[in-house]
Amino acid sequence: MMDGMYLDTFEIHDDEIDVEEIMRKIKDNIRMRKQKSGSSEGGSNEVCQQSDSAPCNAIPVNAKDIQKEFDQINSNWDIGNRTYAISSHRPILGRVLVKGRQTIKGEVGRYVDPMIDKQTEFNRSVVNILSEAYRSIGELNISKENAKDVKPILAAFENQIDQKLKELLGQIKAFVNAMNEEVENRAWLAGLLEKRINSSRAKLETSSGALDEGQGVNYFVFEERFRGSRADIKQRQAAFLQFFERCHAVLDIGSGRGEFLELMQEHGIGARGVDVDEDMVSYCRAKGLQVENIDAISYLERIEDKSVDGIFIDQVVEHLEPDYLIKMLSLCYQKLIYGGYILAETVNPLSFFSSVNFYIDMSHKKPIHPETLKFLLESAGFREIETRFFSPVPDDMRLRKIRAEDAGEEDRGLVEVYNHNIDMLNAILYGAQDYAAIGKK
Amino acid sequence: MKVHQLNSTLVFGDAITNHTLEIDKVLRKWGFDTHIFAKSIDYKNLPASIDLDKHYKKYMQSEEDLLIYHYSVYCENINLYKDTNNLKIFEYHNITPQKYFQGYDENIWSICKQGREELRGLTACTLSMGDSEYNRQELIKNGFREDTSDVLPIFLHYDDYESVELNYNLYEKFDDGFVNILFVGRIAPNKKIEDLIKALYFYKKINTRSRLFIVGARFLDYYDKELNDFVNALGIKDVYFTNKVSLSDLKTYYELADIFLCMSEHEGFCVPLVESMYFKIPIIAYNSTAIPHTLEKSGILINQKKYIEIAELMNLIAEDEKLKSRIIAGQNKRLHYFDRDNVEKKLKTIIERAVS
Repeated sequence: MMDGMYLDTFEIHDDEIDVEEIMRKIKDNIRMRKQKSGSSEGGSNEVCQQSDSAPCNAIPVNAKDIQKEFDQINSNWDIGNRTYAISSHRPILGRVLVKGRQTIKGEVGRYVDPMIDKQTEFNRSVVNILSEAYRSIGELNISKENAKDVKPILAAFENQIDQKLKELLGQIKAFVNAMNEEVENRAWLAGLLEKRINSSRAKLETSSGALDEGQGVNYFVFEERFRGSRADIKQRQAAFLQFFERCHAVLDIGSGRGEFLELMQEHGIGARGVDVDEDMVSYCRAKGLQVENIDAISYLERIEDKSVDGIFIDQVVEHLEPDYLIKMLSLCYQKLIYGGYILAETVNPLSFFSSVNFYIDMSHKKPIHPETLKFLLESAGFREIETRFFSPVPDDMRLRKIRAEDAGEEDRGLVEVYNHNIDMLNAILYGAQDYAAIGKK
Repeated sequence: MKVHQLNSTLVFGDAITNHTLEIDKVLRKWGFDTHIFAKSIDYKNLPASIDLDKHYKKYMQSEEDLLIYHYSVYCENINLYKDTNNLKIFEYHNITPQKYFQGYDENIWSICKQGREELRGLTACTLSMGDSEYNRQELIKNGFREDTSDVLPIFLHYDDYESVELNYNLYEKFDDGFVNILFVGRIAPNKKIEDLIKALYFYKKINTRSRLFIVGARFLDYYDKELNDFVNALGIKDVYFTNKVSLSDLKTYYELADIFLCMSEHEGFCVPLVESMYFKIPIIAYNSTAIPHTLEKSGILINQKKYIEIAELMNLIAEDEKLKSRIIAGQNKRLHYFDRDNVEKKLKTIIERAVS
């Protein structure tokens, strides 16, 4: 049998309900009502009234009747007629008759009297027993009446005791259950928190172990310290969103703390990331972001050609060996759809300030000149390549110019030259910290 | 580790507010330190630690704490949800598609539209959950990860019904042998109140001794007028719009009802269905959105709004005790799924998933 019945109008999932039968009834009723609709509508609700006569198999006997019957038995139990005197109203024949009757009585009495005596004796006994029984019944009835009054009191009392016991038992049970539940809940919470602490400790141990072995730094902590807060990074990266508008499958290579992935999600852009740092991946996943712990080339080799519609590579290329970078960019081209953008942002080596800061990060391999990155993108096949500079050094950290109005008329020329030189120096020393090379397939 | 819940509003009697308070109660029972925050609060004698959402900001830096964000309407505090460093559980209660409010209320139309559009930008969370499978599926369609999504049914307040008295005057007035058809819900166009009236119209042709109770708040003047005009045009009696009622009255309407009829075309969960199960009222409901998920295999689903057949079905249920009992038996089975113990267990699993 199929799982539930699906008919045109209704659906019922119950094996014990015959939906077809219901539908048949519905259709029949509709047909019937249509046929009736010509005649008057009255009488559709016939009321069937059944006579409520109770079966009457026995003659009802009430107490009054019993009393009457009993009085009769009481007065008629003595069937011996000892008061009967033989006499006759006939003056002459009477004597003979009386004599005859006395004789007959004597002769009959000889045979009948013992029987009557016995019957009378029997009757007396029966009446005595009945009288006793009647009296006892009467007493019983009185007791019964009294018992009727006591019974509910006893029942109520019993009920009350029962109730109290039940309540008490219930309270004990509830108390024990509550205690058990409390203990279970606390144990569960303790277990949960312990698990969480252990996982944090494991993470910490992994990262400190890595440091001891000189295999690298805890990059998560490093980024927190040197790169800036997630909020700042998100704000800075918002400028890149324009290249990925209406995209569904953007790949963020080296997604780190997931700032750009989060930004894209907030703007309804479908995106996923890859990163080789396990901590970063765990962090992103905890934030609900789709990130895989895998290196870029392995991932790109695995996915289908033209399966991504945008590629974002932020602060990654400077970590890569040239061969790896070249292969990666070539794969990026292969996997990107036609018209999709690739955007690679990195440290600007044209700025002395950022060049110096470049070495803060020990995992940096070498800075990449904007022209080099442009060339590499071109070589991979990308077109319409441009570079844009971001993250200017704040003014209060740059060399200051002299205001023309602060100088005398005769020094104006010198100030102009000086300020021009300052501009040149600022561009070299304190130029934009980052740049992005943007290409299109 | 603290657990915070963030809502748009907290309103007395509202199902999501009650759900939030119940989660809070359960979490506290388990030993968590908890808070509830909301943009606006309209609730006297609040039973828990509740505050305006601006006070949540001081907890946002913590990566240890857990936030449960309830999303049922667009609210500015989605930015708090977006920016928090807490572990995040996003609970989706669904938002009525704006099309239902077009021409009735520009403001509600706009809030619904914005709420639904924002959904795609809220996917960044540790775990997402819907209060029905339908809502979970809608989350996935909007970009939420399937492998970190779950279902947490709404916590229901049966205790409230146990403790409140019936309105005996109301009960006696309508306990008169009429077949009482009940619907409970806001008087909104997605609920298709006009279709309930149509069903009564046809049922009255079979049984004149019948009436329809439409129990729910009226808040759209033009829709109300349309419905009143419709009732007048059909010339049927015994249609009762009660507007918002007290809990005692609501209980009385449930006790009076012979059939619960729902023709709604958009529901995120539909609490009155579960309440009808609780009050042992046979349910007939239109097969849309979350309704088949909430009923699962219980009640009777309407696939096509053929009113004459619906009227005949109501008549069969009203007259056939055996059929009625069988439907109620199926509903009783389904009701266990919404048992408090089950929902608590489910919540425990969800918290474990999010925290571990």
